[in-house]
Amino acid sequence: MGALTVFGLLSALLGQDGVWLWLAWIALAVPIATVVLFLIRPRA
Amino acid sequence: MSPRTIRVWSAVHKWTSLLCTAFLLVTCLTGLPLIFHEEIADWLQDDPPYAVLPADTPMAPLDAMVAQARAHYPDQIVTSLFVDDDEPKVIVFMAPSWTTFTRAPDSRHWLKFDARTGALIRDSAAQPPAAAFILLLFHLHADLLAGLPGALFMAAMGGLFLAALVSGVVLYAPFMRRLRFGTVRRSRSPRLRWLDIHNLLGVVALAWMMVVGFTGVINELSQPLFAVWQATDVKAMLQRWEGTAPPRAPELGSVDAAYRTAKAARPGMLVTSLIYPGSPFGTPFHYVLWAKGNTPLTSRLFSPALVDARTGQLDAVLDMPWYLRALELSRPLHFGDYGGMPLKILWGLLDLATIVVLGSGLYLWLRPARMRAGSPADEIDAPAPAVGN
Repeated sequence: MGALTVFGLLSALLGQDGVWLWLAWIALAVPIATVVLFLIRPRA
Repeated sequence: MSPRTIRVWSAVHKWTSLLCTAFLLVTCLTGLPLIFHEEIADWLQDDPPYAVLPADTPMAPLDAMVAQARAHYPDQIVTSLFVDDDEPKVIVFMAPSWTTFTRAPDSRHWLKFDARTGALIRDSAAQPPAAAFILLLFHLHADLLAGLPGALFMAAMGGLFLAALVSGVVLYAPFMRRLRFGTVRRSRSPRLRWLDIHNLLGVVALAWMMVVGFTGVINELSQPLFAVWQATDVKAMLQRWEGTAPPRAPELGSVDAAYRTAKAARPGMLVTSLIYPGSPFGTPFHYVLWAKGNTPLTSRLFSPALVDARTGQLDAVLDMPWYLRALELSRPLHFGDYGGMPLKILWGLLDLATIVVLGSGLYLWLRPARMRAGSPADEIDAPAPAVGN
């Protein structure tokens, strides 16, 4: 998760075109999606 | 990990967190609207629209805009110019005097011009009061309204935050060893539920919090870092000017000529600002013109050209030292303003996650674990939270 976040942070900064922006958005959305997934899943 | 080692790391986590939590909460709460400050400013401003002109319309003379600004405030000084590369605007910054500006940089005000027509669009003295609220939020976020001492204090709080994150990582594995990743025990006590949420959000947003925390610390040190550069590289460059009197206002050469000289000295770069001689952010003898690249990365990296303010001749093209390059690179990674609106929204969500981590840590500290009172059963799976142990 950490590596994915760092990749997302850097890809938008270092990337030259839209593909890198999309990769950044997806990579940084993964932690948010993970939290939502575990918070809404059925009772543990 | 031995129980003693866990106790030591728990103490580090507890005290580093406790000392910085209140200030980090202020930072996160004020940072949330600041992520969207450009959108909020656009929404609040009621400036007249720019003139509709062909895209290749050349820029109006900067000297004429400066003359207009001086005519509006004849007793004041021009401190700097900003030439926007996003919008067709030029901002002329003014202040009552260099003494006042050096003592209180917020004493400066600005006049906004249409870059193609040279027409005055807005005087900051007439801006909506709500716009000043963003500036207030920024200072609360960056220095608690206390200037440099506040910024250094916040840098120290950022350092404690980083220590809390590292100690939290060290503690995460032993504390979660009997639980599956992401477990939130909703059927147990509220304390355990918040402990699990604290651990989940903390570990998932860890890398983002580390990067934003570390770059925040670097940003807080921007003033001292810039002062070091002025006291070393710039001072060495200015040695041959010793004994020379700084230029008086009537001696200052053309701003347009200085702008053209800097553009020629920095080919392929955009010259976006000009600092007047006498500014604490410049030198006593030069127009300092800052140029930047035009790729996502190089647009964050600024390089100065020094133009003799009397003669208009190029005097030096300086390379920035590594610590100021690090500062420049840390800015986008702290502000989250380099990847469009989706990145800003993700930044906001991760900021909210950090607020929950801080708030839950505080809650866990205020409601100590029952195991301390001799009833360990409920907490044994996950002995200690962030600030709550």
